[in-house]
Amino acid sequence: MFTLTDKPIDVELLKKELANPSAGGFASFEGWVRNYHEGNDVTSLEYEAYNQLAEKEAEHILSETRNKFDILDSYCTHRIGHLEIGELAVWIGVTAVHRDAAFKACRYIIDEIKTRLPIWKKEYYLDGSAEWVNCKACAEHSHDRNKEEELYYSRQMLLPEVGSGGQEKLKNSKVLIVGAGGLGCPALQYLGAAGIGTLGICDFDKLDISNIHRQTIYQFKDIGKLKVELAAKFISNINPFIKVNRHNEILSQNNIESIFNEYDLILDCTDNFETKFLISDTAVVLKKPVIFSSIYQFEGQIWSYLPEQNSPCIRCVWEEIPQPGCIGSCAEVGVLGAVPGVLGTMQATLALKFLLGITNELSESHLTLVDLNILSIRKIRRIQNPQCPACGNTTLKTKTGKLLSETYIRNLEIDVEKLTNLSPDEFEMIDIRTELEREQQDTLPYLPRHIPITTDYNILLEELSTDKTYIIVCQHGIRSRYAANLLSDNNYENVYTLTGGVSQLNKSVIHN
Amino acid sequence: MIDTKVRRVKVCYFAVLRELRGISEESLDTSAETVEQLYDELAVTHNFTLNKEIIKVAINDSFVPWKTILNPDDTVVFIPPVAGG
Repeated sequence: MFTLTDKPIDVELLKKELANPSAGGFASFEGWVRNYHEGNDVTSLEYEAYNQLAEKEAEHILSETRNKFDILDSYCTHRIGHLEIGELAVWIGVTAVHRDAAFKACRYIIDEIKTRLPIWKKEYYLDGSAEWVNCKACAEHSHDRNKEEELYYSRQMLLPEVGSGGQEKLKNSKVLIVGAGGLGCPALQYLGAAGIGTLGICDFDKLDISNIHRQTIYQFKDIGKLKVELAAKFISNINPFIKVNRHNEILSQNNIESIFNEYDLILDCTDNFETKFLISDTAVVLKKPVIFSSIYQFEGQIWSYLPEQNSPCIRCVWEEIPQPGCIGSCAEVGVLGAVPGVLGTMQATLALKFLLGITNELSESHLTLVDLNILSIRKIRRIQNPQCPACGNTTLKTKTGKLLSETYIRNLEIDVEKLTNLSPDEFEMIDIRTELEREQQDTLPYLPRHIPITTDYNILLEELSTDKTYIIVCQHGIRSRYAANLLSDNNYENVYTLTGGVSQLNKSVIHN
Repeated sequence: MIDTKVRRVKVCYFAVLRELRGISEESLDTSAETVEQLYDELAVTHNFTLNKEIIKVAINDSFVPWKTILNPDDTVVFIPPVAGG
């Protein structure tokens, strides 16, 4: 008899199944999960089977064994799902009148099972990556696997706009989703299920209890865990045919180019102006298409930057980055969970249309305003602004007198590692968090000067002198980036922002 | 005699402006000549505190400069930037 199971194997129970008074010998084989494979340190494994076919093929193997060897009975069970190092992955037991037949039959069964069963193994490595391991069996059964994959996408392949050619396009696409939050969750879910071959997730946050009402791919039991890991696992569970990349990083000028270069299309699912402008400015430089969205309470905005269609960029409409806090975030003004659900799903729809080449040029150059209060969608025509500081064919300057290319090249980021190598007398640290934030959060391992900012950043221009070196910090490095840019625009030459803010600093100090 | 300068226009509010106004859209009569004057009038009536510099305005679904002249039956949309996600 053969079984597939997602529960730990109970060997004693199986031995009882085989108990037989005429048996003079019993041989068994146990396959265990080991901690390395071809030079990689493996931390755990995942087995996945094409169940019906695996069961049918295994019954063939057991029946062949009975014909070949003089045995009484045999039993084989194989685990599927997630397994840790040392766990029992496969168990075979054979009873026979004499030991010789029992040994030989046992050996025959495991050899055949290894090469003939459609069971795939995904290895998780010490460095956080994971890979489906190619084995002989995988190759032999790739035909069945292909058939299964075709069935998976059959309903969308029925669409004349998709077909097998379109599905192949999606499979060859690489899409990055920045922000695995309210907008990112639905976008990830639908793009993963639609068969985007390589899906990247970029987020640095951990799951908070206040996220789940709108970020519904996460589970209550996972509060405190890294969102990137949780989201990647969720997507791999809904679609085993795609590759998921995890970028557990804060997007900044230091890493944005190298991350963006891995992908064909970017989805901006972030929640702050600083990152949206950084994404847009970088996309203009690298000529990467981006689909943006933002929400506010019961409303959302959605727009695209498609360089090949000469569509406008974010600065064609909003030349300067709005000051953080001038318009509320979800944390400040509240949001109904279903609203980012609608907007994120719209982003996924636009992404699929773009990748399939069914882009409607007119709609893509609009700023679409979605008002779920009155279920209205209003499209505002955008045109490329020839005087845009980012993408315009011009050398005009922004209101603060800087060429955008200069703004982009200026890298004011300083990470925790660099900071810890600096001597404290080389700079002054400016903490712009509010009193309330400082009370609620851990204290800093530095003695910063406090200039709490709620709305008016110009106070920094009054308080700080242009000839000193400053490192500005806030909780997550978003407001401090705005502040550093503002100071830099006003001729402060040695002003930096701490990447990731105080939250990164404390994390690193604890680890050290 | 009807003042010929009074125009009936439709106004749509988004984000914080909708919150302050309490409704998503309305038709109203205005003697404002430009869209900027219309905003200034509304800002006084409804306590809009948002700086005009960061709001964009569209007439009949196209972005326009603040000095654009209003015509009867125009649909005016005020759009603040939003960043939630």
